[in-house]
Amino acid sequence: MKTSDIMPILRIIKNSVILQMKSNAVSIYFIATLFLQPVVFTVISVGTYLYGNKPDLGLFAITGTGLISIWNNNLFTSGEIIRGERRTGTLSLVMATPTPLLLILLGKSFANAVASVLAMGITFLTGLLAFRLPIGISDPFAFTIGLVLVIFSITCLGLLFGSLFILTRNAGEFVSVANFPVYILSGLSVPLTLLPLWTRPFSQVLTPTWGNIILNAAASGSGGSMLPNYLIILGLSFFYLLIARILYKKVEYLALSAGTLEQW
Amino acid sequence: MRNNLRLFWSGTRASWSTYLVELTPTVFFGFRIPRIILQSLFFVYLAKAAGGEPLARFALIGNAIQIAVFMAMLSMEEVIESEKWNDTFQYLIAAPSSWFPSMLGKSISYFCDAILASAVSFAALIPLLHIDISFINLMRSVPVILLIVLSASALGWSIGAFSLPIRYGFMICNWFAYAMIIFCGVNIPTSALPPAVQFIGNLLPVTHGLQAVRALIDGASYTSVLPLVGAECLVALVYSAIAWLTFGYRMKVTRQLGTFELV
Repeated sequence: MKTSDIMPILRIIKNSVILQMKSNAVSIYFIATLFLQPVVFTVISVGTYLYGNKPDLGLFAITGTGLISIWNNNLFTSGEIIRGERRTGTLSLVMATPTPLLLILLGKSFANAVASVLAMGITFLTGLLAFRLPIGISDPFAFTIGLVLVIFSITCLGLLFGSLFILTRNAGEFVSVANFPVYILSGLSVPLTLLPLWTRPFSQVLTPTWGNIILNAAASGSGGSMLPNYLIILGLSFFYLLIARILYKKVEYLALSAGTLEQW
Repeated sequence: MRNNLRLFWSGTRASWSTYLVELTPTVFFGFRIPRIILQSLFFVYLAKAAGGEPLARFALIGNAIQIAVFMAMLSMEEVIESEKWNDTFQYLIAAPSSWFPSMLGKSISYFCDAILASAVSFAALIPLLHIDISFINLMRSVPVILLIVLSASALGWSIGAFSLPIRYGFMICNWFAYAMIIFCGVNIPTSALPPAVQFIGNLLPVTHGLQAVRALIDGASYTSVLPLVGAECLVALVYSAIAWLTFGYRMKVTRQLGTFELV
């Protein structure tokens, strides 16, 4: 690929990011979800662990809740972006432009994921203020790298789901269902050891599982090399992107051959 | 009386029709039922990780009822708010009949939906997690569960009536319902909460009723939980009164000013 090919792609992504950020800045729903969800979930999860006399799991609950917020924001907004385009009557126009829809959504989802980093900070702050937990990140460098990779990877996973949202008007319902299995299967705030063994393969293909492992290891300073886990997250991200690309092509083909998006 | 019953019946029919349009079999079995089970499952797993089987049992009872509370609150808020979005609020104002029987009828299918959610949650999670809950005792607690859902519905109506002039009623109700997991002792007992949180919890629906349900499931007699049931009834009545007065006030203001929207 030549540099002249990359620049337009970056410009599309940049413009999508800016547009989505502007839209988020005036969305009370987005802002409230961003600020309230981490607080409520942190209080529930850390409060439950403290009541069960397991304060050592407080940090685990906090990082899990942070990832819950990032995932929730990303999935919710992936669904909401498509629904918004559909509601405003611009989905067909966006699909008909020469710019690939995948790139537009990549930029929009990335903007949401970046904003949701704030949620991670809010969970730590809630743990500190509400429960006075001794919260410190032992390896901030590894934590930061892990967080960046997780955000990128969750964006890619959100894109994969986003492609399916084009062919359904039930994106909102799908989002409300898809949240909790990911929380459970990825061990976000609940240990994976509670789950039956047959669920492990599902856990392993979900990027929040690995993100949870990395962020917990970096926060608690449990040591060990992070590199294998970083590589797994990167590998999964490219796998999601590949599937998303195939799905978008398929969806685009279906829409163009039908000549309308109204039938879905 | 007969006219009011007719209004109630027509509201019920409208509610049932809307329910069937919104909840196609795909949405119901593909999204609604899994969501009900998975949301409860997550919080029960959390409790199990924190406090083992006893806390998991505590959380299962709490969450199986909370899911009904959650759905009842959101739906009742929507029943009120939909009058605004469907442009039918002005007809309610202009109609010579009372708005109450019609609105009550419009809420019926959602009330039944919430009860169904609780039943599905109990039916799925008890065998799935092998939690020891006596079926007979669970059946004995059904009237109190109905009361809890009713009092949560009253809170949903109140929020709907309060938030009618703004556009964020559903969001407010959503977060209110989540916060009730903390305040009402759904995952952990209210006695473990700070006094200020306990105080707020006592003013909310669910708190007292849930304690009564837990006691009934553990084999307590109805007489012993009567004070808790009485407190839940009182809370339900207060929120119903708030909803009634606020909605009536909104109608009055709209009639006077010709608008109710603030934003």
